[in-house]
Amino acid sequence: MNEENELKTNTTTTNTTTTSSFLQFLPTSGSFSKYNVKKPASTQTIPKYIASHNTNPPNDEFVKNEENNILIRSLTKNSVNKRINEQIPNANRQQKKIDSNYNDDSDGDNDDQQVYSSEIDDFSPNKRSRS
Amino acid sequence: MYNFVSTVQKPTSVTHSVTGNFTGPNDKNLIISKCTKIEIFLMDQDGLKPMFDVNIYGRISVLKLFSVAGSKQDYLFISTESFKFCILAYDYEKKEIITKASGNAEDTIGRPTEAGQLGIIDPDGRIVALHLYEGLLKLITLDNNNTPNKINNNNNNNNNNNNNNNNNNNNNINNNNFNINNNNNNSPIQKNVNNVRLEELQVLDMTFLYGCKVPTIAVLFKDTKDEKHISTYEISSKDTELVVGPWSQSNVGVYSSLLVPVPLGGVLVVADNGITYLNGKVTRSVAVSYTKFLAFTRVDKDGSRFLFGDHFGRLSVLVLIHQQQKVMELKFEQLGRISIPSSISYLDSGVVYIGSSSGDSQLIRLNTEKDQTTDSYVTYLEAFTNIGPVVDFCVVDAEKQGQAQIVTCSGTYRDGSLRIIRNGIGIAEQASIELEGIKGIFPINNNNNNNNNNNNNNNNNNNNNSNGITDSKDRYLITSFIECTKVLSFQGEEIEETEFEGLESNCSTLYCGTIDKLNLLIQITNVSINLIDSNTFKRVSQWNVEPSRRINLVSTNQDQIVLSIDKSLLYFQINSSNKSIQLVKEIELPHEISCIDISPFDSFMDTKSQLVSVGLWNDITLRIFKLPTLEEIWKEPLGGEILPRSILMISFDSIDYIFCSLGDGHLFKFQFDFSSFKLFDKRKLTLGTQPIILKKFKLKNTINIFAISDRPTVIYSHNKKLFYSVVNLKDVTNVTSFNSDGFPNSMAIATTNSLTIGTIDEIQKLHIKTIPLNEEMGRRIVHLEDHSCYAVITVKNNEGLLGGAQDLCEEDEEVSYIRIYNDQTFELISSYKLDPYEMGWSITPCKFAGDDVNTYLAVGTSINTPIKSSGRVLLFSLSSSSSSNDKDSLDNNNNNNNNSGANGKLTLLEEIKFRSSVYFLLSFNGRLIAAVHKRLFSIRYTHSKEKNCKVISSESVHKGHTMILKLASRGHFILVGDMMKSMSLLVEQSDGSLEQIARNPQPIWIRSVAMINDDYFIGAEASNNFIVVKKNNDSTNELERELLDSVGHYHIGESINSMRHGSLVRLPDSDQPIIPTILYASVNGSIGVVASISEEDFIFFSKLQKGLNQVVRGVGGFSHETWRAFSNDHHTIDSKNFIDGDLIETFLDLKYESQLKAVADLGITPDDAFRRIESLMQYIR
Repeated sequence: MNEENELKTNTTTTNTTTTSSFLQFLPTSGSFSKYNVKKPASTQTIPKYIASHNTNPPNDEFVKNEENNILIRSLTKNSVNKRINEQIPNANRQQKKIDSNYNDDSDGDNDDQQVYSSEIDDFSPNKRSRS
Repeated sequence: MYNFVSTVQKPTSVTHSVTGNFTGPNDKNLIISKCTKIEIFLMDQDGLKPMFDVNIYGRISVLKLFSVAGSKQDYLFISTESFKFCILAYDYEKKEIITKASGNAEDTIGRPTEAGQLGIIDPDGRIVALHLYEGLLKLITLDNNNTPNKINNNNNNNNNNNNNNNNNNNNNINNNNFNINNNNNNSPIQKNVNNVRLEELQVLDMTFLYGCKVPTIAVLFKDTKDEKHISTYEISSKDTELVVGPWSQSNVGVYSSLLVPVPLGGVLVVADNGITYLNGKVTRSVAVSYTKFLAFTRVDKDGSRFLFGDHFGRLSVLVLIHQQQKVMELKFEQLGRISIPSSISYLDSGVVYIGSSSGDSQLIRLNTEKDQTTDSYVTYLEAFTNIGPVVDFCVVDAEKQGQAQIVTCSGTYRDGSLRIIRNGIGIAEQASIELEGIKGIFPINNNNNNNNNNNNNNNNNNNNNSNGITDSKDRYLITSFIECTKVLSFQGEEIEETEFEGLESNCSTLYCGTIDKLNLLIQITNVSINLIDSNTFKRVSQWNVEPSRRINLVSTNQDQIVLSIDKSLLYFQINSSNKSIQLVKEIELPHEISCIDISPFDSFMDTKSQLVSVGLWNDITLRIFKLPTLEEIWKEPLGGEILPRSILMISFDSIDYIFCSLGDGHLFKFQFDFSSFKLFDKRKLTLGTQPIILKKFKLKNTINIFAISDRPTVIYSHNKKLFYSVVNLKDVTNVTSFNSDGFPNSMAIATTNSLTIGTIDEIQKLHIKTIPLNEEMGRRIVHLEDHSCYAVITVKNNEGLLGGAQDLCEEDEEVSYIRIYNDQTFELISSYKLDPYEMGWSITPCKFAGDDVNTYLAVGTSINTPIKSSGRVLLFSLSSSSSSNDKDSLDNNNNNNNNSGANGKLTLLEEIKFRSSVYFLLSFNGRLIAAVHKRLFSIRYTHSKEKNCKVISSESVHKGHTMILKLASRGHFILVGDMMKSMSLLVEQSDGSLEQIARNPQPIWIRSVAMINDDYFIGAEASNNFIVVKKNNDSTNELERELLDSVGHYHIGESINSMRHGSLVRLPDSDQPIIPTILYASVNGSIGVVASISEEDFIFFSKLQKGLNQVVRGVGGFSHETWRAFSNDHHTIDSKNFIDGDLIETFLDLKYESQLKAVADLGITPDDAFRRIESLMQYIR
């Protein structure tokens, strides 16, 4: 289907210099097909909505924010630096060919190297204190 | 001091727009966010249909529509700047917006993101990610509503109903994983928001990727070296942690600012100079000329095409040429000009919505062929008015009527404009034809007759059909000219000329109307009264004036007629039995008659009138006569020398009034006691400067008065009080009610050269007129009354220079001007160009001591060269006689006096240099006060005997502030608004210096100040709050007298740049004390009024507000108390001594049962509350 569209647009382009092939076949599902210039929405008054019913969430259960401090949570989970370089995706793809246990170890090694690299390239105080 | 805050113009600036199926499974909706409200539209064949205007208790920072598997309708996610969020759904059976989830994502620690809050939703509707604090990502997991079905029918694909979701064979597995913790509640959200650590600290943009097995985000971030990169992360479903994603890309370009997800896979990285497609494997780029893209929309479901809008207001299309889901090439083409967009939404059939916070939002259509004249593929369908951002405004009572208009500096960059905003009743024109010289217009209802010709055979048949008097519609409009009369026939919306046989058409018609019960038309010319059969249009009777006399004035009430011929007053009655015209009584009055009215008080000409009122020349009296004897029962001297021009008897709310207008624009109003035939309670008003003609007209079963003058006014009554509302018309010569099939409930309006049929608003509202500034933006505006002009500081961007994309060139791009516009026509009169690197910051008209004749224009500037910063004060005169840079002299004074306002040429007289920017100028008791960074300088311009010319001088009169942003003065006091140190009050000393006598000690970041009265001052605060402080004059403690206590707190929710004293309404005709009002305007295009009310009113409205909060709930579970609490970085305080007028006004729209509930604790009826609210609102809107 896409190829057919491309062929059509190419044909149209060669025929008419002031026609944009990029605006052909815009998605249409019936709206604005009988657009009435005499009754623009911009001059109509939009009805005011008044919520006179209960607007609390179901069972009055408001979503709570996570109570744990993010730093404590991060330390608890032994979070490691996840800054990404171009090499990381390649390394991941290569390591996935080996069994899972070895893959985990390799990831660990890469992360260690990443931490070391960050200390050299990035002088963020947060990261200094973390390392 | 208690304040009532009411919005008279809601926010107009669009910040977000989304499309989807929100109100119904088959409904296509456009939902628009305007700061503190959303507007919901339905798309149909005819266009956009307005559905709801929904108030939100919060400033919307994220607005997303998303679909989840198993639900036929989309959900709406809203997040506010105060970290509240909710998910809304629409129950189309109950027609209610329901809250599926609501919560608070605020943390006690963490630094809010400087680049603004980001919110994104997984395209499969699995998770929401919010970036609100640096280094933190908040994750809200979305459950699937149909979990039980999915578990039981694991092999079935239930995604068929989800048209917007990409079907993926692995979705079932992923959904099951997410549904493990489902507890069978109805909320689509788990009960907690999870925080995860995000290594990237400076996130510019982020987005969820399409087609991923697990939710995957891409993050565009900046490192500490200002280089930009992209990382991707997968969100682990196990413990909601971030895992390294499938790919990343470093060094994507320092101009990158946006990420656009592509359904084909991957993202578009949008930079100022190019757009790049990335998916980890393929990189495709297209270069674009330098610009800053602000908004985009996807056109095709597969992501083949996107529309982009930039900050020059240019719309472009990006095409991803792809084969088999593989992007091969990017193509980019400019399409045309639009408003500078903040959001773009593709709707349907090539129609696109352009949401703007810089100028008017637009509805446009994309054409496949370019319009050669405009060099554009864009057709403009509609414009939605946006007056934001209002940087400054002035309040002008041009006609000194007590009702002002606002003129704002609106818009940014090429969308800059002046907006004239006035309050009044609007006429919506339905049809208009050019007709010159109309003297009178008279509607004729004759709905039963389709045959204009003489047909004797149908006479009986027509008579039998003439039963629907009460259902009759106007069918004809008799138009009278100087020497002829014409008949216009209305069939539907078609208008054509026709003829009545019995109508005298070769002379002017003084009156034409129907006598319904007799099936007659009556036409009165200056020589005859003609009776015409309504069915046959043949003349059946006639009364002629004596040959040498002429009928001057006429008034009728069905079969009652009064005429004036010179000094004679004649009363006629139509005999119903033989359809003849009978002269009942004729009397001679001492002077010639100038106006007549016989219309009854209590109806619109359907009952018999018992009185006739007249105005007389020479002795300038109003007299009332009894019918049918024409016995004089009252004589009222009006005083003065201007003759009465129109008189009207009318009853409003069972109160009988008589109005009498004069030839100079004044209007007398009397009350009339019918039992004793006495006039009393005489009042005099001014409606304009030209003669006024008073006419009754009907508007949906109510009778009102249309006052025809140079300022057309509608007089109506509400709650037993009279209101005078200006109509947005000019040059009106005549009006009449007109109610036809094609134009129901309308009016016919005649001007000097046209006839217009239009509908009239039932209530008065704001009318906004736009004055384009030719791609400049206005920054400051003042009105110079003495010179009848506006002075505006403008800034112009030369976008041609941006082609080189060099940073250094940007310094030369902006040029600032002083522009002078005529205050009636807004024609540009004069200009002055400021120096390179110089920006106008402040402007004021000023007078100097010893020189009471001249009004000067003072401009304060800032000059920011690459080397240093400084400022100037420039002093201008407006005169045609002065030449550039000449000093003013005695001779020029004489010339200025003679030519005052004649030409308005702007001439620079003097300049004073300062070492810092001049942020504000204040004309203060004969001198100019300049706020220069942290000091106040006094500037005088006086005549020097030594030099024999005027000399300008300045001296520092006060210091000790951080940065002075705004000043206000009252008498000998100056209120200083500091950028960081709240407000302080200074008083003028005898030696001219200024001494601080009181200050507010809180660290309030002020944006604008105003003095409510001598003791109370109000400030607009940078976190969108109001604060009111009080001077402690009466305290015996010296320390307390030095403090301005904070006595009022309120969260307005809008960024307010300017506040001015003034009123948009003409004060009602009342003896009650005037309530002081202050107008404010905001960045998001809202206009509001702060009205100071009594303690008694405050107590009443406080209780009513509390009651209303039990009835009117905040959408999304948001709380009104939390919303209106004063809140900034330092602390949060409950709202104090403020009333939310917007909430109070919702009482007027409630159903009766809800009103009862709201006033239950007050012990009054809804009608009492209604009356109380209206009594206050008449001072506001």
